[in-house]
Order: sequence, then structure tokens, then C-alpha cells
Amino acid sequence: MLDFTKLAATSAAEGLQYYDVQPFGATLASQTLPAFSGTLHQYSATASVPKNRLGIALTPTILSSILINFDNDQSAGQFINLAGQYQKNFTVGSSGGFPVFYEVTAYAYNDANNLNIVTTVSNPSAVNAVTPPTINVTGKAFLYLGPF
Amino acid sequence: MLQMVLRLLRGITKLLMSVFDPSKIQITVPQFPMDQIIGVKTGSYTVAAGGPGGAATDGSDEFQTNFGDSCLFVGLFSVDNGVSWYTNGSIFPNGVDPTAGQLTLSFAIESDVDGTVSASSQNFTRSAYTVLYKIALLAKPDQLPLKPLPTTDILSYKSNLNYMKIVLDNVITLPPSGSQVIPHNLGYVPNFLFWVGSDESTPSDNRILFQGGANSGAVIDSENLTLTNSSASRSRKVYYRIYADA
Repeated sequence: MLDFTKLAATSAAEGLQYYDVQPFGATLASQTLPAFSGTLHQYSATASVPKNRLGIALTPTILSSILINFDNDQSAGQFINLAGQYQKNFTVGSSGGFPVFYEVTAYAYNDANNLNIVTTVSNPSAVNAVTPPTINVTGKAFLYLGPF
Repeated sequence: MLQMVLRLLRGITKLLMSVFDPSKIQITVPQFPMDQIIGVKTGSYTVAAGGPGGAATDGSDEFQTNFGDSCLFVGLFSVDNGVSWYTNGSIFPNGVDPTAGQLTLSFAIESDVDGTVSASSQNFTRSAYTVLYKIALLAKPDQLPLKPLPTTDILSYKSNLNYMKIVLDNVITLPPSGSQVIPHNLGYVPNFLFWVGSDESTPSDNRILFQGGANSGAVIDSENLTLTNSSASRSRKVYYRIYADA
């Protein structure tokens, strides 16, 4: 008789267990951000993806892959993999020879109940105020269990 | 009586044939390959507080896989003793400097061709941290033969679980500023992961990093994955993996 317990010697045949996929979205309404002056002017939006949608309580150590579209950056229907961190400056004009720009950052983390995708718009420039456009963030989060 | 014995023998023969005829075995062989986990590592390291003006400190932990090769990976990091976990490549923002702006702690995993895997952070914040990490090592499509790291876990492949299903798994080299369109033709936007070679200046450096976000140079839609090398001076080796899952 084949002893299946012997197969436990390594985890070589183990894969990433696909658990769930959920869409998410957030809107960062346009606001005017004064120039940086020791205080960083910014606003944020968090999209939360519940991890217990299928009725199973999950630990915070769930893995994820997040496809995301920032509509001020990607064309409709195109997605990048957030893969941890997104950080990009967008120039919207110039003032006195200096570029007027805003910065968009995004990252993700797990807590006990949700996978949270945090997007922040800020003005790191000490020269100009800036009014970014309204930014719509859409995407889908793949949740998988991994071996932890 | 003889007819009963003959019928019994025919029945046994039929049963045995049905057992040993592979076409009669109703086990579904997976249609798609899946990620092969070749090791799991958990650990921690400390990183001192960053300095004034956004000066950074570094903290890391590294281990030897003895694979004699690099590998792919996924992972998580925690700075609050496991209450919340940040994905590899993410940041933890904490504070603003009057001159440097937003202060962050970063998280990164690297895999070197000599078999070393490291978890590290660069700390711009004014706080010190103990960073916990969890890493799963995945085989590359061109992985050299190796013995997976031993684990006390039981083999957890179960047919009642759903696994990430790979439809395209490849490695390409992009020339400086080059790009390549990879058709997947799935008709929907699928999940994908990718890893790139280090852009360090040492030619022999064959580390693998995980990249994403704005600097990733990877965009996917319902038909294609487009990879672009953001370096204008160096070619880059890129591993990509497109899944059927959507």
C-alpha cells in the first residue's frame, strides 16, 4: 500500500491556493493642495476588500495580487499590478518657470478583516499650489492563501 | 455451476481490466500548471530610526536556500507584530519631514543567483522597527534542478481547493528602453505577476526583484500584457506569469 504520509516530506507540489477575487473602487475628488511648507498637504481614499466574503475567517497573512487602474494614468481597460507600491508625479502646468505637479501614491495592506488599498494625492512641491483632477481608482484584488 | 464460475471469472476480468485500463481511471489531470512552492521562510530583522532630513537607515535578514540559483517569490511584512501585513514592495508611511516630505519604511525581497534570498527595509521614518516577514519561494520556468527546502507541513495539494492556474510562464530579455507585447488572448483581464532582474551596475549581478506600480513597465488588458524596460542603458531579464484566473 502506498503510504501517502510520505508525501509530506516536502512542499514541492504545493501551489498558491486561489481563494477569491473581488472588484474594488475609490474616488479622490479634486481638491486644491497648497504648496509644501513643512506640512504635506494631501488627501486619501481607502478601498477595502473584505476577506471573509466566502464565509471563512482568514488570517491577516493572506497573499494578494492587485490589478489597478488610475484613470488619470492608465487608459480604460488597462491595469497595472500594484505589487506593493505605486508612486508617480503628474505635471499639470508651470508657474514662474517651475513645474506644477501632484503626486499619487498607493499601497496595500492586510488587517484582520480586509485587504485595504490606500491611494493618496499630495503636493510635494514647495513652490506651487496645485489642483489635481478627480481620480477614479478601480481594480480587482486576487486573494490567495499561500503556504503560511 | 460451471456457468456461474465462468460468469464470475468474466466479471473479475472485466473489473480488473477497468482498473488497469488508464482510460477508465476518472482522475482529472490539471489542465494548467501552477506555482510550485519550493520553500517557505519566516523571520524578522530590526531597522534603526532614520535621521533628520530624510536620511535613511537599512535593515535586512538573508538566508541561503542552497538552490545554487535564484528563484521567484511572494511575501508579506509586518511592523506591528503580525496584526497587519504589507505586501512585498509596499511602503509603510509614518510622519512628514519639514524638508523631505512624506517619510516611509519600505519592504523588499531579493533573490540572488548564489542562492541567497534577502528581506530588507529602507527606513526614512523617525521610528525604529522590528519587521516580521513571510516569504514563499516559487520555482522559475528555467529553474535549475534543486531539492526543495524541507518543511514539516503536510502536502497540502487538495483537489477541493482552487489553485492559481498558469496560462503563460516565460522569461524574456528586454533591450534598453525596449518593450514587448505578449498576447494572451483570454478576452478578459487576467491576474499576472512579474519579476525583473536587478538594475545594479555590476554586470554579474543576477538578482531578481519584484516590481510593480508606476515603475513596473507592465500593463495588461483583455488581450495583451505589454512589458517595457524603463532603463535606457541596460537590458533586463523579465519573468512574467499570466494566470487563467480573473
